[in-house]
Amino acid sequence: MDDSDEEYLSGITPSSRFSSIVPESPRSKEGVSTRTRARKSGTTDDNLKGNNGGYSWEDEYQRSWDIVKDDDQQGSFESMVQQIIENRKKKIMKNPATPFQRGIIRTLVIVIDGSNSMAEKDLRPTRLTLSLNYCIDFIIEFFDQNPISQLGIVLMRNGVAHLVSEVSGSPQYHIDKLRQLKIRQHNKFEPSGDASLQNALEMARALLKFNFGTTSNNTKNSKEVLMIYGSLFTSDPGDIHKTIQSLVKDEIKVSIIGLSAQVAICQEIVNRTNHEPKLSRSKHYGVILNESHFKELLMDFVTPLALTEKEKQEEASLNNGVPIIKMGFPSKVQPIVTSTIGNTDFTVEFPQLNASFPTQGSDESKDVVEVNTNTTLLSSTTIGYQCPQCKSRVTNLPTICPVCGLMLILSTHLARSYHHLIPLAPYKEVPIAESYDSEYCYGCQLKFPRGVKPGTHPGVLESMTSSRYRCFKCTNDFCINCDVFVHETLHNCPGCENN
Amino acid sequence: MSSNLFKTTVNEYLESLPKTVQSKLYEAPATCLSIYRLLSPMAKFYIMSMIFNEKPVNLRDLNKWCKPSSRKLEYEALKRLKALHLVEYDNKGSHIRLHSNFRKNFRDCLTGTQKPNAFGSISLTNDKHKVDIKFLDKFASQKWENILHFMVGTESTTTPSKSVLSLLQLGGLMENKNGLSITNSGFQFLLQDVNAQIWTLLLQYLNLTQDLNMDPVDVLNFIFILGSLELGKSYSVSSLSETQRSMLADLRDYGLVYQRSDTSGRFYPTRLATTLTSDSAGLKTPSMAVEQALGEEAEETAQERNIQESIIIETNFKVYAYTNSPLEIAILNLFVHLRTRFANMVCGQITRESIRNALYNGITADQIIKFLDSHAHPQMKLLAKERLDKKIEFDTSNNINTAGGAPQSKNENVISQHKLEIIPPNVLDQIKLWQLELDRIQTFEGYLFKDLANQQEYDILSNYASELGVLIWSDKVKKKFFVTKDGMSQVADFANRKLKR
Amino acid sequence: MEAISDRLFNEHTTDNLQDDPSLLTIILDVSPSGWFKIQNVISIQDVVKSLIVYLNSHLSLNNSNQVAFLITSPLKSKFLYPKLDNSNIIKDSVSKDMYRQFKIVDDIILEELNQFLNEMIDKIENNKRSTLTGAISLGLTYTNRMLTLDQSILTTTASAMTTTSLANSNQNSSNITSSSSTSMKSRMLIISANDDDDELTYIPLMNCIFAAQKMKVSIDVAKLGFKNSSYLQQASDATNGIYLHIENPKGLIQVLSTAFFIEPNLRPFIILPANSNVNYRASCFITGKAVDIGYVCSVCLCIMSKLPEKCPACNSEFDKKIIEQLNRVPQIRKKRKLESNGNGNNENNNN
Repeated sequence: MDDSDEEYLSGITPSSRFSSIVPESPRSKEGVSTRTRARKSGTTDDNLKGNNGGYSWEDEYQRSWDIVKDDDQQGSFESMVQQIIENRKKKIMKNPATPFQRGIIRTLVIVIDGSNSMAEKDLRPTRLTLSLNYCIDFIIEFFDQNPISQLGIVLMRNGVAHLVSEVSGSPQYHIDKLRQLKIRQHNKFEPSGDASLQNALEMARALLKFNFGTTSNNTKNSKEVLMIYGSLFTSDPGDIHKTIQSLVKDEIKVSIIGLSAQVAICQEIVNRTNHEPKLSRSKHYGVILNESHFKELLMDFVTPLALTEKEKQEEASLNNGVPIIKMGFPSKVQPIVTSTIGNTDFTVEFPQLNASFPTQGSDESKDVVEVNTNTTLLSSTTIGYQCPQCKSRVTNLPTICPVCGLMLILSTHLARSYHHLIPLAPYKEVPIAESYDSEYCYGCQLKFPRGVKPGTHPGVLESMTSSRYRCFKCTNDFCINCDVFVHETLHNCPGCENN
Repeated sequence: MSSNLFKTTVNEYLESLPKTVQSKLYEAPATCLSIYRLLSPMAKFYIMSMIFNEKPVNLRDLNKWCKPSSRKLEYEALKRLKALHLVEYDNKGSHIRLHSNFRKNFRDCLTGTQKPNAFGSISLTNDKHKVDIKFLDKFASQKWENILHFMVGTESTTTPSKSVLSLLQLGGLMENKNGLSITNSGFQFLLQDVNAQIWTLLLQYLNLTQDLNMDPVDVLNFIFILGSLELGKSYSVSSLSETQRSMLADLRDYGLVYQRSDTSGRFYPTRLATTLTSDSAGLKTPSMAVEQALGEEAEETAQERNIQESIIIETNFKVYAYTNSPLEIAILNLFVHLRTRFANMVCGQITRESIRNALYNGITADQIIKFLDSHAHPQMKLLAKERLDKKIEFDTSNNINTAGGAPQSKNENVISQHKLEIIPPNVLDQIKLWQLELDRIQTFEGYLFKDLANQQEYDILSNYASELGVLIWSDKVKKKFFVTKDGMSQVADFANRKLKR
Repeated sequence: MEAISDRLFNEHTTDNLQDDPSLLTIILDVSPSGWFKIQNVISIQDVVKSLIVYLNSHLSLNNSNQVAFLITSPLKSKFLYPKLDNSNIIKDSVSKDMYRQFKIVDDIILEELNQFLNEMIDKIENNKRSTLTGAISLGLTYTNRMLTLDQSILTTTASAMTTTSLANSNQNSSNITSSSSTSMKSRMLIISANDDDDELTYIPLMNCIFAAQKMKVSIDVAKLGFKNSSYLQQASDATNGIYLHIENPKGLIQVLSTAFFIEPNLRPFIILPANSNVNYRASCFITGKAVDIGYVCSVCLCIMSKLPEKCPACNSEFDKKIIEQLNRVPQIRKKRKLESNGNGNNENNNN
């Protein structure tokens, strides 16, 4: 707002520039654009007129803080803040409502830059440390959303690519590896040398190829590379364009997050592997603005990629359909907790039902405790999951049954991604009115502000928003907090579930 | 944090009562409820598990409810219950049951079948001179702060009533050397939070009543009933006993109840009274919450109390307090070297000298820390909370368990280890270190176990003692260990049981 | 000697079990079919009696403890307490014989429950599915509000009141405090006599479980009736809750006051009563039946108990070769095993 040149871009009125923060409202018309109101009214001459009828540049310069007037009307500032908050919350929720297919079984290789440039301290504490921290967050979130996907990590350093962790489906493994890397980032793995895109991409390609080879039935797994790239150049042993070509051939999609500036070769890699027009802006290549933007970009890759039109057609034409997997849902076998007091001569078996039924055994309450000690002791010391096919026991899920080769998974793992399948339609804000049907939020029973006649209390909160968000399926009203909670965490509409 | 302090003092008093008095106390449902609320969570759980159980519970069963790692909690809970005579052992010592009176009355209280008017009787008629909550709050804080101001000797405070003065002297909070002046323990008293202060006075009051031949049971019952009354409602005097009626006048002096005149047939409990038995942490009762949700008059009451949280401590030991209340400044002056005073704030510095001065006055480091904790500026609390969240987040991401199952269970212990650090940790440690400088020798009463037959015996017993948390010192080579006085019997019992075989 | 000086620093960390206020949400399933089956054993009235005592005991734990009571039936789910417009009840109910806090809660619940049951008798249709998931969703939204909006209870009265009054007037305190939720604890208890698992809607239930997991809300389940409910078992297992199948509900209050009385802050210290086995069965998308070995579509992860041509959820066609393979599994089993031992890459072969 503070450079006057901007005023000449008369196509954009200040209020439209503000619209990302404060949407058109009675308030913004009096507050924000006092001096430019005349502009909107039509002819070019008028457009140049300021408040006092003179040209706008003759007007008194208006500072950003002048826009916020809260002395004369108590609460206008407050309501503006309120508005901003609600808008931000709305922005957070960008859950697409239409169901579409996603290549949910993903194989992803994360390539982290470990070159000299990552020692820069423009991100606190250093670029590398922050990247590693964010990667850990990313991995947790990734496996949360993509339960049966796999992931591997590669580090670019001294012109070569180091394998940090193999492609695997266990989040714990990757996090351990990243943590090791983090611990040793000052003595062994300090950022050094140049980054080599080619080496890293070739290694990623090898990883993706090795695990999900070109055997016919696995083409539907999406193969992706996510690169965090801090350097501005690449030093490659050979021709990177060849690598790009083979990536395209192998249907590997590369996404890059740049930490310093946009790099032409990165743009090209991204565009070509994602089948986008050359040098077009792509959502797969982002350059960060600041830390939080970095995180935002990174977390965008958590949601499974949508299949492109082309791929859908391909799929249809290929006719051999998508693979179907046989899986087992094991049952959990509870351990018996054992406590040794003093020494081995006194061992207490904690029964599986202990504090729960004192009445049941109260006739001879001492007898409840004595459970058989020998039979189950060996097998039940740890939590186990029993394969439904061969009854063998495993301790960790998801995994492949070592005995019968059945893929074992908890149903809860699969269910994590179901909300992608059946997304919840967004709630719509109820238009401002004098009175509303609903008095309380259907979800949390919060009382809504009452309806107010427009104009009676200008500047008071109620005149800006109705604070009601309606589900159009069940026509129940919710408050903004419930709206966010329902769409972000719960993924169920409480109202619809009740019908 | 701070609430535990008053709980322990009250509990200690109750524990010190003879068993007959305790039994009498348990005859009033309101008292049962209040005493129950003062217990630790573990003890509450034990009581609740026994209350509907007709048969005595085997101690060995009880042991099994607890994880081995939390044996100490169990031990403490049982010790407390035993001291209050809430649980009784049968003659063999293998089964326990609840005190029968307590059990009956508490059960009645839960099921709503107790005798009428156990929780005070609300006046049914309308008061002509109705007072609202705001008025009550004002009345209470005026009365109470007047007492505190008087103690620090703020000018232009009216002298409190005689009974208050005598209480203050009796409790050793003030002494009469040509005019009343505050004592060291008086300073300590000032550092506590309001709830603890009231309890200190009330306990003194109880001591006093014994001399006056008032029935302590009656007095205690009344105090506990006060704790379960509703703010802003008037209660009729007529249902009170003679003793309790005579108490009203005194309680009015402390600001616990409001009575328009001595002869008035009704009284209003103030916030000081209704929160007597609850945590100062959560002064919001559900019904209040409902009323707030309905948007009633919540806002005004909020304003006045905000003054209390105003202290900012920096890592460089500088202290800023946004206050102009002479009371708070006087308290701060106890352990802070105050330098500058502005219209709305004072600043000062915590130094070795200033802390030592306070310590010489008998104030402990813990008291200082608690005071700073509870009076910290909201912004500091917010920051501390953010830090804590970050830590917890980090920890949870350390050992995440996305493999289904119960991801929380494993982290629970880790999380519970984190504390909210409102005061910068370096300041906190330094204050404690300064205290340690002064008392280099700590004494513990207890018993030495020695002449154990072999290493195994030593291991069994010392492990057991440390599980209970009563082990003070142990030497593996010499096969000796030292156990606190309280833990002695338990460990000895265990030893007898174990080693006989 | 260090041990002794350490005391000063450590003393308060271990034995200081926080006595935080907690919110208890009770969900009572009054589906008529389930209760009809066990009419010889126990009636709704008896259960509600026990529950009310249970609620009172929860309230007696701590002055600022909160309760919520939801009811669910095939008709709909509903909040009984807190009641939306209860100002008149609060004002009017003057009781002589009961702690007021208890009285208000109990009165409202009983009154509302009777009203609801009468309503239900008129309108009930037989073929409707349970709305338990709706009740859980409602409970979670309410919990969410309690944890985030009104959570400032932890700090002193003054700030609690300022922030909540702010929250009332413009709700914007949520963004300041939403990140931290260390104060108020919460748990949920579901009482159900409904034996038919398949009536539950699977996906919404799963969504509820994940939400509860994220919010650290434990879901306890008291299952009456004759059968275990594997979905509810999963719900409590995944949220560190307690699942008990109570076959003999006569002494319900005793079970409630022991096994279901473990406050969230005590959970780390007490050995939770547990049923031995949790069946992590999933629900088939086509038939709605529970399965323990199923087929999973690789595009949308939907679970099927039989092999259709097309995925019922995402409509993609399945690879015919694989379907063939899967259909004749028993014959080639041995051979495939040998193979998989050979190249150690059995997951691909398994497809």
